[in-house]
Amino acid sequence: MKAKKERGGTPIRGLLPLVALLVIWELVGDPASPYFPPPSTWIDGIQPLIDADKLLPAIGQTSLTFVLGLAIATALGAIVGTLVGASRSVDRALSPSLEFLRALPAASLVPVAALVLGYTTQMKLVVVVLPATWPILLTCRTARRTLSPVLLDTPRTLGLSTWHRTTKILTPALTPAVLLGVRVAAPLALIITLLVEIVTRVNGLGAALGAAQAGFLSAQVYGLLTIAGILGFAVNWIVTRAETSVSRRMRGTV
Amino acid sequence: MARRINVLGAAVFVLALGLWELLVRTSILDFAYLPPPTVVAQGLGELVSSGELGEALGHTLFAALSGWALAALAGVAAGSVLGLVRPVWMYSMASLEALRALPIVAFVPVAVLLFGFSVQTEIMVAFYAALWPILLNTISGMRTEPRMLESGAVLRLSRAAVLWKIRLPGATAMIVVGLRLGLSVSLVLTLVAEMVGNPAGLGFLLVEKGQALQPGQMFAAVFVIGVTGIILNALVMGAARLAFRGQMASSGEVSS
Repeated sequence: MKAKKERGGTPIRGLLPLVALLVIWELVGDPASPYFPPPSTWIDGIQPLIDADKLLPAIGQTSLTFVLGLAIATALGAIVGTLVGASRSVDRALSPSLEFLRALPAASLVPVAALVLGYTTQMKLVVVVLPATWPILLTCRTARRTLSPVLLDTPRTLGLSTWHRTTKILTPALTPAVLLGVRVAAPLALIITLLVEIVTRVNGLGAALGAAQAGFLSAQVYGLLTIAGILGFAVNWIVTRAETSVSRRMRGTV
Repeated sequence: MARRINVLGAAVFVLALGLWELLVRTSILDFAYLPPPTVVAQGLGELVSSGELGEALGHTLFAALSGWALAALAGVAAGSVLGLVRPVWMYSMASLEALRALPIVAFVPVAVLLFGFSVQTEIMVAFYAALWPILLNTISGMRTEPRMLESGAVLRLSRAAVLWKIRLPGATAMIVVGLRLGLSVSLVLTLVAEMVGNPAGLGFLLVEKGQALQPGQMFAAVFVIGVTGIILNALVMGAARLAFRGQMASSGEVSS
């Protein structure tokens, strides 16, 4: 009975403290407070952005950078991960360089990319792609390395072409691993997108957040933080759903 | 521990640096502010001899480690309560998950708003960032296997003894993983806080050198940040291996 309870999701009633906190904040909070403006003022805070038609484009730019960055990272991570995992010697040759690159915090790359590539959307993309590639590359490498040799030898015996071996055997076998990597990389990519925007103020939600903070518009900062949170929640939800449903189906066929 | 030195890997690393040098020197890679590795090494020398590097590194480490240490205390304590007391978990876990979905970097502007351009901002951001992995890992680490608890019941252990002899050792490996993750995110977020908020430390050094158009010194700072991260991670792992040898081995964390 107890074990069954633990397996289920988090109980919804757990939201009570958060709701209570927001209600108390609303009741006690001073609308003019420069530090803790109550939740009702947050909407007024972002109203100027909506009126100036800036909020939706900002969300759009952030989402575009995020989606493009994650897509490139997925392709790059899956391809390089598969190649590195396929051969012991390639793995040995590249792993120290990869380990060092992975250890570089994404945050430290932001000013560098801004200097080398300028304050552009491409720069944002490069900074997002690099850190988001690692989780996908690493899970894909491990999955490729631990792939059963039988799975690879059978189609060779059957005389399948390289193309068919890749599409019919390798891709289905590695997809769950890639998706697992994407599940880790997606929240990371969103964080990095916001980070680049906050630091460089190129465009997007992060730039709006940075500008609001610089102008001491605290209600707007909290409003934008909430929007960023909703975005984060949506990304998490979609990626987790996609990963579990696909890997469940894959497990049936492999 | 006795691992063979990866000669091939080191050779490729050096080769890649050489290729970078060559491509920049021959202007095949033509960016106005992309320095070749020799200029980066020179920049590193300049930063060390002017004393800027030591000062910035000290400041960043102080902020990141204070935030991390506070988060370790708070995270393990709160995580133990949440992991052990079911009603507390039931009535608060969903709130925590909702808060966790907020992207951490989006909190940096809020912290700057609340604490101004000060070292408190950095410590608070580092604390908040490190708190999540430590807290969540402690919570799931405290979920001991029922069979272990049953054997505790058979041995008629007191509640304190169950906590001390079964629950905590069982959670150690998970907590250490949380501490490692927490340390790397607190370092990253400290750097962000320095770039956006408090003008001090390695994060500000990066921005400053970028604005001063000193790409060599800037890349050198990035290099130092990467090495710092690797060293800190190794230190935490080493300390954990020394302190909790048995517990770590039982969960397969120690491979040697």
